[in-house]
Amino acid sequence: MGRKLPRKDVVIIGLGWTGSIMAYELADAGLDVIAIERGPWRNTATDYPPGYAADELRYRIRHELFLSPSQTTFTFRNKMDQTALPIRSWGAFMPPNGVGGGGVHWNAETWRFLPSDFVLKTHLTERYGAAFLPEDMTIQDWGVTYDELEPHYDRFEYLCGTSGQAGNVKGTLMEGGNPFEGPRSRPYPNPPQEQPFGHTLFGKAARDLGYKPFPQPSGNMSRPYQNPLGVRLGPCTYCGFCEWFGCGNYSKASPQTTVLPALVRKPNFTARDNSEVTRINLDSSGKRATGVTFVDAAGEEWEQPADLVVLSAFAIFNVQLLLLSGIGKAYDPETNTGVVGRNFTHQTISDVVSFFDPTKFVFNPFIASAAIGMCIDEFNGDNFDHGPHGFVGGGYMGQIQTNGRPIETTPVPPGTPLWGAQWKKAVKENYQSAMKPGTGVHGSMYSYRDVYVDLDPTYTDRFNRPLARITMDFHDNEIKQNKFLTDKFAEIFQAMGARQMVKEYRKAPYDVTKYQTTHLCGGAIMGSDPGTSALNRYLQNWDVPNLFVLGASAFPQNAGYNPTGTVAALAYWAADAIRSKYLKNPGQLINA
Amino acid sequence: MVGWKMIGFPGIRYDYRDWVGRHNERYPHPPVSIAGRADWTPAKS
Amino acid sequence: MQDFAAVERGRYLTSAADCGSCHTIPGSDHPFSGGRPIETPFGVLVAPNITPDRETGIGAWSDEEFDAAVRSGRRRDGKRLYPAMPFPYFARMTSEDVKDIRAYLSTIDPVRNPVTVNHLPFPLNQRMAMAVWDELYFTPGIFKDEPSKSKQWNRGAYLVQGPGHCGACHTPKTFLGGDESSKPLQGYTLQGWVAPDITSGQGPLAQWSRDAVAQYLKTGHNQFAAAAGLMGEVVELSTSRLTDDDVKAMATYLKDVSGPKPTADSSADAKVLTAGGAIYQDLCSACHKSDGTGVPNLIPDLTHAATVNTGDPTTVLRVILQGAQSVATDREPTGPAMPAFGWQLNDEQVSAVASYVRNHWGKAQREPTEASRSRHEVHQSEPEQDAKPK
Repeated sequence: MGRKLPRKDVVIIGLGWTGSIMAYELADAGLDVIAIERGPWRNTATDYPPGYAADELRYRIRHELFLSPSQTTFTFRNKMDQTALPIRSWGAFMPPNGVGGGGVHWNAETWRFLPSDFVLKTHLTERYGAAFLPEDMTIQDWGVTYDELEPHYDRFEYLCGTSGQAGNVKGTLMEGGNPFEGPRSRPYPNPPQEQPFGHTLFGKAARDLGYKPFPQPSGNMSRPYQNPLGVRLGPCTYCGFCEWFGCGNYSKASPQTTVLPALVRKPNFTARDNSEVTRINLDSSGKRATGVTFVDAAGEEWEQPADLVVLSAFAIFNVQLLLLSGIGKAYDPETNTGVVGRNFTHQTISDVVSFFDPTKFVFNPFIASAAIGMCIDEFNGDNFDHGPHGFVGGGYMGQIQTNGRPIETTPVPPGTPLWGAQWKKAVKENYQSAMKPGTGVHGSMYSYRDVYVDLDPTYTDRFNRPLARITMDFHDNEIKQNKFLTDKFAEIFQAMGARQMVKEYRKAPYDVTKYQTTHLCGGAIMGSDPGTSALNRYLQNWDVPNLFVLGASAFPQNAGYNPTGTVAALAYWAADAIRSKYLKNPGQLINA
Repeated sequence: MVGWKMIGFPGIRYDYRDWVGRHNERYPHPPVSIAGRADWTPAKS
Repeated sequence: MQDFAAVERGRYLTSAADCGSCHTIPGSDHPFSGGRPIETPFGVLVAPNITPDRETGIGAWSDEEFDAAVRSGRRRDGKRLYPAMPFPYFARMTSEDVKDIRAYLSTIDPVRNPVTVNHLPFPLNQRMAMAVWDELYFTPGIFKDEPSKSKQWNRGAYLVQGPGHCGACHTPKTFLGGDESSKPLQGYTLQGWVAPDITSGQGPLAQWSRDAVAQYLKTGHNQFAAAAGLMGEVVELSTSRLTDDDVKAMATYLKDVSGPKPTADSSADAKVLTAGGAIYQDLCSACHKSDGTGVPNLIPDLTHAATVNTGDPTTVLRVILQGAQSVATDREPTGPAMPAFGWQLNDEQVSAVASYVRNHWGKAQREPTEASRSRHEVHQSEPEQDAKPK
């Protein structure tokens, strides 16, 4: 155990979205808070200024803002009978690194989950019967409801200045918004972003087909905004270098542009960057956390004692640290017992690339933000009758194209050679008139008994700790879901007048080299039963009550939306429980 | 730069506020690289 | 017996007089213990320790000795202080206010920190010479209300001319470093920053409303400008800590100080302006907007920022080359920063874009906008931003 530092009230592990929100809330409550972050501090003007923020090679291709796999990585396999191997170059997902975490490079697509998503098991069982669900599917209710989270979604949207059109304000449906969304207490703080040409065409075609398209809720500002903490954001300039990149002009919501400026002014908050927590320490009873051990940039080990430990790293690192610290029983898929590592999920995404007549269409694809776009929600969650289709789950879909960056986004029709004069000619001909939404179909991934995280038996990190091992594959339910959604998606491009389309269905086996969002979820899930969840409904650990675990690791299964809105709403929900309940009477908040 | 010109990608320009609402219209300005473009240097008289 | 009301008044006046800016090393845990080097036109002076330490601070001083130092520029031994200590301004303060400052300073932790103040070369190191200076530039006498003006105006004038010592930076200096008293607040350049002309009338603040001036002083930001560099420090340590009434009073007075129209120079080469415009539209418009108007309270409006609309281009060039961190305050915690462009633009390009900004909207060019000199000077000083592509 390293040298001991002075005790703090709270130690926060990871200073991304949830760590920043929790640090602010607890410092605001008067507690002495320290945050420990593995990566570097990041500021707009010094880390991604407009002069070079738009460097596709540096950020998109060479992953400047992400964790370097040489620092740490995971091992991966599809099936339990395979040997997992370490990921040496990120592909399917992009683990963040540094202050701001994924909030620096996210798309800022700021969704709420559907009310039925939070009571998924109950809802689907009631509607379709238990036999309709695949036998090895392990979905659960969350233990928290949409109505309980609504005020916390609202706080996050007003923190971020989310640009969007409300679809349901207190039960009244609003024209132009998402009619399927749960009731919200008030409209978005800012109007939707202006839509580029291609995105409006999608909206029109969807409307003509009888759908109710709406602008994607966006953390890219449609106008200047000052949030309730007094922090200001500027208007988005549609630069087209947003997701994978930091925002150079203060116009994308991130911890840097919403929370951190107010947080760092608090005298009872401190942060240590470039320091990696290696373990959460427990007392001899194993029922109480005493603080954390971390290693600084010089390789020196320190112990930071604290009364309350908040684990707010990226989802899979939360799971890994719990396993390494011996907190909670590790999940065993053979016996279906244990809680840490179970219900691990990702996202089921696919795309349709479509080609239009270059003499009639000029899309200027480089004019975009990362959360721009027109979407429909008819095929999400349980917004439609799954009975005839034989699967559960769904997703939103939309023309949400974020860029026309030339290394990544130069689609050519099938049959074009991969290089040479013919390829160049095809790139030139189609650059302005092709559509490549990216993660255009954004489907749910539900949980299964054989998809989980545990510690790798072979490979270790630089501190000689076992790497986290991912065992993941797509199941038939998700493959069917994706086929159905992708076909529906293509119908809209057809209606827009595409002369050629390529449907890029998601297929098994899960391919860890192909990007599929960074929405890794689960592994340390919340719930009502300590036998099947690691955390109670307040994200408090069942076994160690002075430990709260934030982030998508708490999702029992993933819904058909981007997770950040729900991740942040849960962080506010947990912060509220700590402030209003736990601090008054520190201990287990739920008797189960 | 040659490739960018060929396809009509404007490079590191960071502000399309004036253009996002101009639909189906070709963006007229030449590409800019991180090292700039010729127009950044005053012409010799 | 301590008089708590006096201590509180003194704490407030210590902020108003910005004592901490010179007498505390930035980031130090020992406020007012001195040691910060102060650049003057003649060389470096080091601010002394003014904590109540009896040997190395001012603990052994009587209130009269303290008053003599603050308002008359006299040391305890009777010798003269260098005017880096702005006693010609503090002379306008009432003896009660100075006594309150003393009362507050007596409550802070004494710190033992001997400071050698004088690092000037001969003959400037001879304090005798200061007698001549005092004769030329020092007029004793406390501030007298101007009966024709409002109470608010007079309060503002007292703060600006007295404790606030705004003219110490913003009034042009003679070759001896004394105020050119005929040109109050019409701008001066020091430590690599322009303290811009802050006059109204035809001066750069003509189009700033009183409330905009007050907001700038209180928060460091308004719809036109953001405080950075030396002024950022003033806002952080002094004006942001004043009451709303007092910053409004200062603004009321400042808006009544009129100045001449900055002399425009339309000699900039059209080709230079064309290149500058290209750079501006490609790089700067992302934040400052294509028409230069920026984003209120976040990104400065280059058509109204005093640093752009003042004669000397030093700040404009410096900020383009090196970037600048604006001040964060409780009311405006954002603290946005201008990134450095010195790695991306050569001297000719920096000059061109600065000329474009100053001529296109500022129309204030008096001195040629040359970046090469500024780049050299910037490299002499500490970098604000180190934004280079790796």
